[in-house]
Amino acid sequence: MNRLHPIINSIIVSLIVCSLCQCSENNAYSVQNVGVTSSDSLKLQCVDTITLNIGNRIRPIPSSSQIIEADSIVKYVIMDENMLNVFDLSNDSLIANIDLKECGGLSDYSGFTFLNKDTIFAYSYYSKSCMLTDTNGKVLNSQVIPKELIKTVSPEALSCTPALTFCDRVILSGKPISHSSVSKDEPISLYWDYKNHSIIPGAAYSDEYSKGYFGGIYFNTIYQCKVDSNLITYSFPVSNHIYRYNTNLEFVDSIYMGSRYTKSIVSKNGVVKDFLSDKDERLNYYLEQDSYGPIFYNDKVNLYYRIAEHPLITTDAEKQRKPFSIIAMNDDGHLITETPVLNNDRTLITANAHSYKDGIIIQLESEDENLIKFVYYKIL
Amino acid sequence: MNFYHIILLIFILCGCGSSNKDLDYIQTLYSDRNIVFDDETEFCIVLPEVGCSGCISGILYDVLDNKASFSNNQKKNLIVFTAVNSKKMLRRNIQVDSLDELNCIVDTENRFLLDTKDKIYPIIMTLDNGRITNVMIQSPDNPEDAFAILFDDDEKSDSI
Repeated sequence: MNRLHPIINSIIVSLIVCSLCQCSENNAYSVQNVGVTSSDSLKLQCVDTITLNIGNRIRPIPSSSQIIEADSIVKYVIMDENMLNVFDLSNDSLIANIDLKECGGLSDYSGFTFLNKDTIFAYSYYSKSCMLTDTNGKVLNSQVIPKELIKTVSPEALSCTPALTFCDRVILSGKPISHSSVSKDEPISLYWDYKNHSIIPGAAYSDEYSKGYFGGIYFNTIYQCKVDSNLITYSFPVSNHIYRYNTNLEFVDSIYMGSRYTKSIVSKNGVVKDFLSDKDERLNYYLEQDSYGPIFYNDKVNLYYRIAEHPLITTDAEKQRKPFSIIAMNDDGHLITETPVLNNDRTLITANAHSYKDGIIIQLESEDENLIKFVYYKIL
Repeated sequence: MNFYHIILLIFILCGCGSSNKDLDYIQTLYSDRNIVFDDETEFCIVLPEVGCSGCISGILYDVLDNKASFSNNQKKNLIVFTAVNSKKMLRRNIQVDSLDELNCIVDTENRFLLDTKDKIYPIIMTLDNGRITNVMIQSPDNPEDAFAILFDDDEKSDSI
């Protein structure tokens, strides 16, 4: 029997495999917004602008930072170059630096959250390490996320996707880049029980993610906030609802918190391989659609605030920040207002927003990169 | 010449075709945008701040290792910073107090930025009397160290 040359065999097999990959296509799925949105659009107002001098070294748009309100002092803490820089926001002054070099490299997507005034949680995205440190930067406890778990839960700990701290655990969320829709069984978060030295996965995306493929990156961001000592809330970019889980990462309930401007969000159809290899297409797919962003719970006024993002048609040279509105809702699920942000919307950075006093603050881009500015929104 | 030699020759020819295409494209693009280089410039890096972080940081390390060669008291070696989000972060990454310490252009209008998918990658080029003579785009698809090849070639020609 004649046999083909081994090289020719390999080429034929490769061509067959490539053809099968090309056939891996997604059909579009549309998430319809059928809820009752807020009818008010005026109640949330910008009431103040806050300016902080950060000096000539700290990055002008922090990726990991936190507001701490205690004892009538409001502190703003920025993580940069393995250091926590603690500012008194009321007095515009630097009050402390905490050197985190013992934590190793804290590169992009790493972050921190204060557990209490003496203990800090730090997360290294590079080494996938969860750590507790004191205010001298000394590591008190640490654990590395197992490699097997990282394949499904790859956390980040940024300002808009913060690590959430509780008396006995820290909750982190995040997913690796996805090439397909996500099964309902796949965990999206983990909690680090630092007293028992265990890491447990849990929680899940909303149903929409199992019905369609939403690009695997921007629409797969997991926004979360702490509500109380036993409750967290998720905001997923494609879902009109928010989802509440307990600190065991077990589902509690979902509440409608959709935008009046969002009619539908459509999943990506076409060949995944081509899509993922084209950075512009990946980004434009996200920019040209509605989506939902960070969520905050303000326990002083018992209100949820959710960022709803709207389509942006842009040229390359423009800032790729979507127009947005802010939805406010009380604990009972009553939508109080959805206020579109019309002034400075292209210079407001919703990735650096925080619950503050009775409302939220959002970073406003500053021409002077040695200053950080925030605008403060609250319901009047 | 056996089968393996033929396959190798095909890959080489494809590679050569690709870099000639890049050279033609960039010469044309920059000419259309009226970009003119100083006659004394022989080596130029076009470095986007925003893009492929691995590729960019690799070239950044090369620049930091050879920072003296890019100082503002010479014109032979030029850096163009394009797709700039933050001049403050640029100064920090390049480890200078002021960008005036370097022979560089801060391309705030993105005139040097490519308009293809390759815009996220650093471009390394050599020039002769203001004309671009060789181009390498440092992307993950290109396993060669563009800086080492072109910068070293440039330095070697001075020593002859």
